[in-house]
Amino acid sequence: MLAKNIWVDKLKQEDQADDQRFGRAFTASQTALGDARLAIEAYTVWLQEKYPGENHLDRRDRARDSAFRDSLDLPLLLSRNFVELDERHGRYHHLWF
Amino acid sequence: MSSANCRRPDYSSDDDTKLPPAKRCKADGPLSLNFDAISLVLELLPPTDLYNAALTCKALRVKITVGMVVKSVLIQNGRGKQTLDELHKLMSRKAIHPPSALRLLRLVNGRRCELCNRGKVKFIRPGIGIFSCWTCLTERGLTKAWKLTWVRYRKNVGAYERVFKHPRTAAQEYSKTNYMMHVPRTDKAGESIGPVVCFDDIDKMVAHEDGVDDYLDTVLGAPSEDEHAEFNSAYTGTLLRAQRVAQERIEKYREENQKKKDGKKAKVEKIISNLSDLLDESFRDAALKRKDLTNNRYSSSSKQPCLQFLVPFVDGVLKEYVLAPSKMRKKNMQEIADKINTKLRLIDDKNFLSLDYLSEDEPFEVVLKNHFSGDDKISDLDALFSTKIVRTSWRSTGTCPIDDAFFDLIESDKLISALVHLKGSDFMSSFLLPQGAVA
Repeated sequence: MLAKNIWVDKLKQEDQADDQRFGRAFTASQTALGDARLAIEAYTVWLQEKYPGENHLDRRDRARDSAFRDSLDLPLLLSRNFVELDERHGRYHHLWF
Repeated sequence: MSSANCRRPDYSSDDDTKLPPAKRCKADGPLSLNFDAISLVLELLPPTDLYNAALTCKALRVKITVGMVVKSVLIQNGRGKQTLDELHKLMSRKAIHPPSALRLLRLVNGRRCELCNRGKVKFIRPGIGIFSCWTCLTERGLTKAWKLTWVRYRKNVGAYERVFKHPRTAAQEYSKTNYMMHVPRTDKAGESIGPVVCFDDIDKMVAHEDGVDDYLDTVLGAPSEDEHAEFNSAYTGTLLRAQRVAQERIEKYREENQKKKDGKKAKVEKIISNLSDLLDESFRDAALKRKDLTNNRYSSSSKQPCLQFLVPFVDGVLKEYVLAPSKMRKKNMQEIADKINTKLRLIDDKNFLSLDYLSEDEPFEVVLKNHFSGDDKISDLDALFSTKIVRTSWRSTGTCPIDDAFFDLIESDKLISALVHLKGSDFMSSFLLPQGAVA
């Protein structure tokens, strides 16, 4: 899902409708995917620090997985804006628990 | 028919000379037929025509019987059948005044409420036998609620229940209330209509010492069994025959429909055969691959094609003629063949299947080449035409992408885009993942 979100995002950013746009989007996606994976690891660490006592329902993993699923979270994840990313999911925590 | 056999209509006697000249039958009119013959003809008319016949003249009107109407409606199996079914439920219990032949005709042909003549009605009200609208039934006093919570009922439940459960009492129970005809009514011709027992009769029937049946006979003067017999015997006697006729009608319709479908399919196959001769041999068979849709439950409609070509581009071009084969002309066929030839020749002309246009240096083109020469090999046209777009939702079963958009891309030399189009753009994200991982 993360790969798909990144691919769609990068393909959307291509202005020209030529044949090479897929190649450009592919290269950009590969880079972004690597960054995103690193960002997720950092985000996991950040969440563990912020919510050290919450082991019961694993809120951190849910928030992280949601960042995979939701393409709207992608810019926040890539820019490592973890505070806003966490706030965004914080609104829906009552639905998860 | 000779004039000796001609019998004039009899209103009261065989001689119509007593009638005014304008009302006497014309010797050369329809009534010059023998009346037995006219009766036979009337029996074969559908309810609407029977109604029109009844309005023609008094001579024909008196010839119409209850049995004739019942037979006509049941055999026709139209909207009036429900009216008869509901009437029969009441008539078999002798709960309503038996309708005359003309009233029955009005009931089965009616469109408007017989009381207000405004509200639209389709069939008689069940349980009351009156052709009334909902407003008349509920708000204009046709029925009245007899509540089972009333003290006089609770004090004498047994006696009241005997009256309510009596077969000749037409009371509809709903939520501790019996809805009944309020007062006895007659139609505009003065004929009694609706249930025999009305709201006011209930208490009187309970108080009547000689029993419910005696009250019905002596006080209400309820119609005898003989008066209901004609309708009931005609209904039960015709029902089996009507079911048989309806079954025959369905079978005949199915046969005709199948014959029509087969004829249409034969015409379409002929068109395909002729078109096949005009297409290039290299892709003729692959382009005209098709699946049969005649077993499709919706294929009986003229808007549904009897077959579908597996290549959407070909299907789009030929669909109009599959639906209406008679529209196909030689000129159209040549145009269609040229169009298919032109588009499909592009695949060979541009060396689309060779994949030589993919660079070895670009990572995306390398994975694309590996994919289309390995997992989804498109070595020939058959393989290309059997490509399916990977389904993106559980609803989609995957569609063939060989459509107009695909050929437009090839025509404009966007061969990589055409390759991406084959699997769907979203599928390309799977190339970002390691082999075997889910996108």
